[in-house]
Amino acid sequence: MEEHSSQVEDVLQRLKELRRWSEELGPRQSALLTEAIEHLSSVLQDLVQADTLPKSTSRSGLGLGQMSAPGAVKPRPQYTEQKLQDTEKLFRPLAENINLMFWMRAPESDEMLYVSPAYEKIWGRTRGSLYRAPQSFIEAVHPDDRKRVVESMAAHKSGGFDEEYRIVTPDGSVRWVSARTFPIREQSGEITRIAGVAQDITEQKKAEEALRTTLARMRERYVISRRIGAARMAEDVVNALRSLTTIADANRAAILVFSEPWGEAPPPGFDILVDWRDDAASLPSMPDADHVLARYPLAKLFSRDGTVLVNDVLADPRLSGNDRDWLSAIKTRSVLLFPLITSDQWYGMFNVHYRFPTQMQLEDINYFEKVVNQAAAAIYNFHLLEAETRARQEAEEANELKLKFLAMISHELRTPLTSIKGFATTLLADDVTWDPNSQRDFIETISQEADKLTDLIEQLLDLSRLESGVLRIVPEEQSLSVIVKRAEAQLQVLTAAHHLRILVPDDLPPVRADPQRIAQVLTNLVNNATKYSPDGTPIAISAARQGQYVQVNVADEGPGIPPEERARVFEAFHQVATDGERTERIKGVGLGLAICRGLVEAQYGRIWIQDRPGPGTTVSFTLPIAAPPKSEIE
Amino acid sequence: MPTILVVEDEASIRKLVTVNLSARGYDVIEAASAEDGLVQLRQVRFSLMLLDIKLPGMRGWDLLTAMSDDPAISLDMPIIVMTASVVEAQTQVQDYPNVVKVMIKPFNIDDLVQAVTDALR
Repeated sequence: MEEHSSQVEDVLQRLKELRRWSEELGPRQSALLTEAIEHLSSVLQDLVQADTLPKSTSRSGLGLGQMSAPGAVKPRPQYTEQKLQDTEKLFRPLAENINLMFWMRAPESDEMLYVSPAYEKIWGRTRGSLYRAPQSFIEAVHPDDRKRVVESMAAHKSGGFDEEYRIVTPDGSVRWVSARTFPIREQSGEITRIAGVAQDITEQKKAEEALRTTLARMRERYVISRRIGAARMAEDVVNALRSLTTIADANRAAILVFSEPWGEAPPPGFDILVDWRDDAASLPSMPDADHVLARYPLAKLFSRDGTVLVNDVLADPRLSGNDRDWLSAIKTRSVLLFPLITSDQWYGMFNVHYRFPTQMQLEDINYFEKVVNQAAAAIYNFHLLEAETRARQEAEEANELKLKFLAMISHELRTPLTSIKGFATTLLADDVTWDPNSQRDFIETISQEADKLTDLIEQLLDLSRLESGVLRIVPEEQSLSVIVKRAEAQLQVLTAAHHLRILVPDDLPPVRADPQRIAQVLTNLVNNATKYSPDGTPIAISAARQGQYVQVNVADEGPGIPPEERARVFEAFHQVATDGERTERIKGVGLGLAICRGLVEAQYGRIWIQDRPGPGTTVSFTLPIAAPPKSEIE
Repeated sequence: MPTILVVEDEASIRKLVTVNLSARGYDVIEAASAEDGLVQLRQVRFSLMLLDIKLPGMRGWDLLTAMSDDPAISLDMPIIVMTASVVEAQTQVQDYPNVVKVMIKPFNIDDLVQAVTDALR
């Protein structure tokens, strides 16, 4: 206000000076100039006054019949002026009352002659502010639309402007308006005014936008449905879901499947069926918490009721410091958790991870949920298929192993039978007479081979019984040294060519074990030691307490077992590969250690090859210490 | 007398074969592995070979291949194969025309002796 006033004062001052100067002109020029100056001054003063009056009367009339500011418009002939005033009387009530914004502009200038009250409602600014500063009309246009609007205005100075554009109200809100201008002509065709009409179309635009979004989403869902239909594995389904624009910037998408459907209580375990990452090279794969659901940090947030969104894991009170460390290690800052439910069973989760905090609209999440539900059935089927395939593969492998096993057994049984039958037939030969020594030799061979066969059959039966769990184990509370003493005689026979050392203290706590079976294990291990170590070398049996167990060791000084074979030697029919020197195949069928393992584990112990450097083998096994008898507790 | 090579890792079966063939007048040389057999084949001209398939180290079939690759070894002799596996013998034997008979363990020793006699006739 004051600024305007001071500017006007300035002009009035100059006009005063101009009048003084005009007195130096001739009388006629001076009179004309003076008249013009008077007119100008009164108009200016009107203007100043107009700013201080209430707004509704700042402009009386639509500006049709009045020119209240100096400018480019020429004075009108009287009859036109009248016509304009009549028009004004007709349209003014209309202009004052409707929500359409209506304005009048002088042609060829930016001057606003009239603006209807709707301007204040739509533009959020006073009409006075527009009169004072017509350029504020352009300034209100949204920066992104300004160029287009300005160019169009320049091109349509005489009407014909027709644009939809955004304006920004003083409080920062954005509205859409549709504005049109048209010229008002007098009978001669000359343009006397430019009229404009503008409308707030924000709601309409919103509706259009919503419709567009809905259509886009329908199309998107159709495409995704087809892709899910064509999927051949769970990864395909995840890829189809990833094409949703709502999750385009996710850095990870994972499918978790529970070990059993989540009913009343959470299931114990889970599997990660799919772990898609946008950059597998730099993004670590998802740690699976050993498949224990309780150890999976996000599990505490899983819910059957609906999608859970964690906007920012760093700000979420439900997550602990450890949880956050885990999440930042896998570069997750926000996460969307969708329950996967099919046939009313909550069988897993579809989790979408982002490296930045997210701001997601509820309707986006709802939309996404719908699509995920569609995919849930497909994912479940693939999970089943994969489980089936895996089971079938395992069954096939097991079957192959069985066949191999049978082939080996078959061979091992046929060999001694060949000798037995062969020598019997030999003795019965018609065409040869055998001397008594040869006869004796053949009969002894038959006997030995029969023993071998018996031994083999016993081992096979033991192994078979162990496998099917019917091997009778009769545990007793027994001191290990007593067990060893009982077996000592047999062991001494076995180690005739070696040096047997027994280092089992008498004061070891008693163990809970079947003495006969332990003796069997010891004999087996000692027997192996004799086979694999040179004559004359020591074979040592030692024992010591280890926590809740007694550990027994059988050590020899043979060539030793290579580290990579140390676990495999306990498999049936496995034999350590002989080195090139020994062409004689190690006798025995390779069941001994497998049986030892079966026997030890059936008595709740463990058996293994010690990780000892240097040549020689030490086989160790543990037996549980017998619980103290009741009388002691009481 | 015809000399026969027996390649068999089981000592008792080796003895069985040797005893029976020697008693019928053949000279028998034993080898406990395919490698040993190759050594013998390079040194001696045999009239016939008895070959076990399941051997430690090089297998019986590989020995036959090695024989055909080695110029020092004459392939001009009948071979009798001993094996516990029927199926394997049936498939593999087609590649080796020198193999005149396959004995499936446990075989009748008399049948073996007969087969040897037939092959050397």
